[in-house]
Amino acid sequence: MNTHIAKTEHGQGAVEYALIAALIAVTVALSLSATGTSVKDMFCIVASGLGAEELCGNTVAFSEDFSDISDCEVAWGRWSIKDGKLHGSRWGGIFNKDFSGEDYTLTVGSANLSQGNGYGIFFRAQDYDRPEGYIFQYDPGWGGGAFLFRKWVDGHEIHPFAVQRDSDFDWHGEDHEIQVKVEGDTYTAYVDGEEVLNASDSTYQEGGVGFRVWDRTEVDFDDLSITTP
Amino acid sequence: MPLDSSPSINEYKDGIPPKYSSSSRRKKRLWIFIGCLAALVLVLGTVNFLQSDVGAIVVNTGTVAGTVVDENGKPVEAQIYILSTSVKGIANSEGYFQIDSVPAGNQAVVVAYRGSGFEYPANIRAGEITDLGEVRFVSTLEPHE
Repeated sequence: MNTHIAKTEHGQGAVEYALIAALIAVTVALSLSATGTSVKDMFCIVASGLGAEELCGNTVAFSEDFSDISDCEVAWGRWSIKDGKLHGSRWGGIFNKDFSGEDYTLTVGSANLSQGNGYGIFFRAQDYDRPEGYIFQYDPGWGGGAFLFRKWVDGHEIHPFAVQRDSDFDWHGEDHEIQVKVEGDTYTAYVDGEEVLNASDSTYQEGGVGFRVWDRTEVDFDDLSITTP
Repeated sequence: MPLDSSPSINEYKDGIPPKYSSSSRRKKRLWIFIGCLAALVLVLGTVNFLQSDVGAIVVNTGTVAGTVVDENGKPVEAQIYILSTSVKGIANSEGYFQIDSVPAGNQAVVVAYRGSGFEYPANIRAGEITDLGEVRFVSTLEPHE
C-alpha cells in the first residue's frame, strides 16, 4: 500500500509543474498589464538593476557615415560629400532612400552650420519629389533665431506648428548633435542632449528622413543614425 | 375572337406551329432589355443620390468653400488640401474655391501657394457648404506675428 502511494506521488511530473509555471507567468503578466507596466519595461528595470542595460537598448535600424551619397536621393539643389561629411549648400533637399518607419529616434552626430539662415531635418517624410511629412528646423533666420517644427504638404512648407525662439544661441560655426524623437503623435527635438522643442500633431504616421537647406546656407552633417524602440 | 382575326387554314398546312415560340423569344428579349434598363437606372440613381445633399449626409461628407486673397486683398489661385485625406482643389482666378466630398467633422484645410501654406481648422457639416469666407494668404517663409 505504502509503495503504491509513493509511486503515485512520484508520477506527478512535468505537466503539473508546467501548468503552475504557465499560470504564474500569466498572472504576473496580467498584473503588470493591470498596473500599466509592460513586460518589456519590467524586464528592462530588472536588467538595468543587474547591470545589463544593453539588453534593453533601442535597436539601431539605420546608420549612415556619409562616406558617399549613393544611399540618398537628391530632390533638389546641390549636395556633395566633403571630408566624409554630407555638405549642403545654399538651397536643396535630400532624402535617405533606405529607411522608413513610424516611431524612431534620429540622431545627427554632428551638424555644423558655417553660414546662412539654417537647415532642416525631415522626418516621417514621403514623396520626395513633392515632400509630405515633418521637418525640424534649426533656424537662425527665423525672427532672430528659433527651433521649429513644420509640416510639408505636397511640396509646400506650412506655417510652423511649434516654435521656440532662442536669440542667444550660438547658431554658427559649432558642431552640434541634433536628435529628433518621433513617438506616436509627439515629437521632441534635442540639441547637444538638451530638449529644445516639443510638439504634437497627428497628420503623418510614418516616413523617412532627409535634410534641407535654404538662404545661402553652408552646412555639414555627419553620422546619421536611426534607432527604433 | 372575331372570325376575321382567326388564323387561316394555310398557316397550318405544315402542321401545328410551335406554340408561342416567337412570342416567348420576344418576351425574353424584352425582359432582358427591361433588366438592363433597370440596372442602368439603379446605377444612375445611385450616382445622383450620392451627389445630392441627402446623399452627402448619408455618406457623411460636406463641402468647403472660401475665397483666397493676398495681403493686399488680391485674389490668389491657391491650392487647397484637406489634410489626412486625398481631397484637394484649386482656387479660380477670383480666388474662389468650392471642394465637395470633404469628410464631415473637424478638418484641417491647407491653403498653399508658391511653396508655402497656412493651415485653417474647419468644421465640415455633412450635406452642407461650410464657408470659410475670405482666407488671407500670407507667405509662411518668414515669421508673422
